[in-house]
Amino acid sequence: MSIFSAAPATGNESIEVPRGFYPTPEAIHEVLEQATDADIDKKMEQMDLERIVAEMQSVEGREGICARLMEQQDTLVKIDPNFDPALLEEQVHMVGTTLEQMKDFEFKVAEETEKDPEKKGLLRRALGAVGGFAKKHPVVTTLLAASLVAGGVASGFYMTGNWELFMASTGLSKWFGAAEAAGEIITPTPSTPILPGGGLFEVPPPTSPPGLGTVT
Amino acid sequence: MMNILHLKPAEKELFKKLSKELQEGWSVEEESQSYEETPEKSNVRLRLLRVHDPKIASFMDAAEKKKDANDLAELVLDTDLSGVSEAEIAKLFFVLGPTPLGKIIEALMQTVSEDNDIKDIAAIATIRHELLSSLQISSK
Repeated sequence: MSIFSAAPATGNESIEVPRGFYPTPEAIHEVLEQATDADIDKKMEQMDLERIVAEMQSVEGREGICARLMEQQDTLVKIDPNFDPALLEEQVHMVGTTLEQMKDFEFKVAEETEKDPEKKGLLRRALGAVGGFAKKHPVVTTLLAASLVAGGVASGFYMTGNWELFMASTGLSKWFGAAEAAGEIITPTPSTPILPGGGLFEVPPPTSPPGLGTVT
Repeated sequence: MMNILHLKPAEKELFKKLSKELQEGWSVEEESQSYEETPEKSNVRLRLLRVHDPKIASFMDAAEKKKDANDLAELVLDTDLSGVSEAEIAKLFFVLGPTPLGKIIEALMQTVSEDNDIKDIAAIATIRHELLSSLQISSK
């Protein structure tokens, strides 16, 4: 997945615009790959994606990644003119912690499968039951499918204000309240940086001051 | 063996309102884990989503072609996840996070009419329980 993407220009043509930089393992990999030979000599070996994922899951590893990224600041600014070095450490930490959480959750499912592929444990049975919810509890399937499109294709709708319409058309707004469904339950990932001065890219992803999240 | 239901206090109260027959065979354990959801956390989970299931891949292909919010909603409403592996469904729940699951549990609890309905609630509550426990990890 490229950190650059095609965005609609005027008319029907597309132009390459920077998508903004957010330190997911893939984005980090892409930036580090752009390091020059001289850089690599200085910094020893290249890091493959698997290694980046592993490094991201420890505090020490994250510090190392931040240091490497900071050495590629020129590239980062090219990718994202709004790149803010002050935010990098916090973002890397957040991605790393989330990766740890995700791996832990996935591990539970894998562990149950390894123990006995035939006999399902509680979690796998629960996940398996959800697969058949489409008719009985469509809201669950709809939520899961909506979370999928939010990651892949919905940012355009979000930016043009159609995300609310989408959530209303799926019926999710009725379940969760219009504002909550559109902004909090599932928030599409913006694929372009937020530019100052408004226009198509003006709508920023919702942010919340510390301590004002939704407690479950 | 008793079947376990991990419920938050408000959900527990709704369960207690069900008939004795429906409550029979279920052991309620209070869901004491909590998680503060924020748009930033939700956004990072979404950015880390990588799916591999062919059914999901073809759904994504179809979704990408939709240029209208209503058309996209129609596609989403027509989707079913039968046959998708548990591992892939787990990824989707991770992206979704535990917050909407509580609302679903509360809503379903009010429509229970048979034991199978409670089994469905138990499935969602189990997923939430395991999800909450994974989300407690703060850092190494």
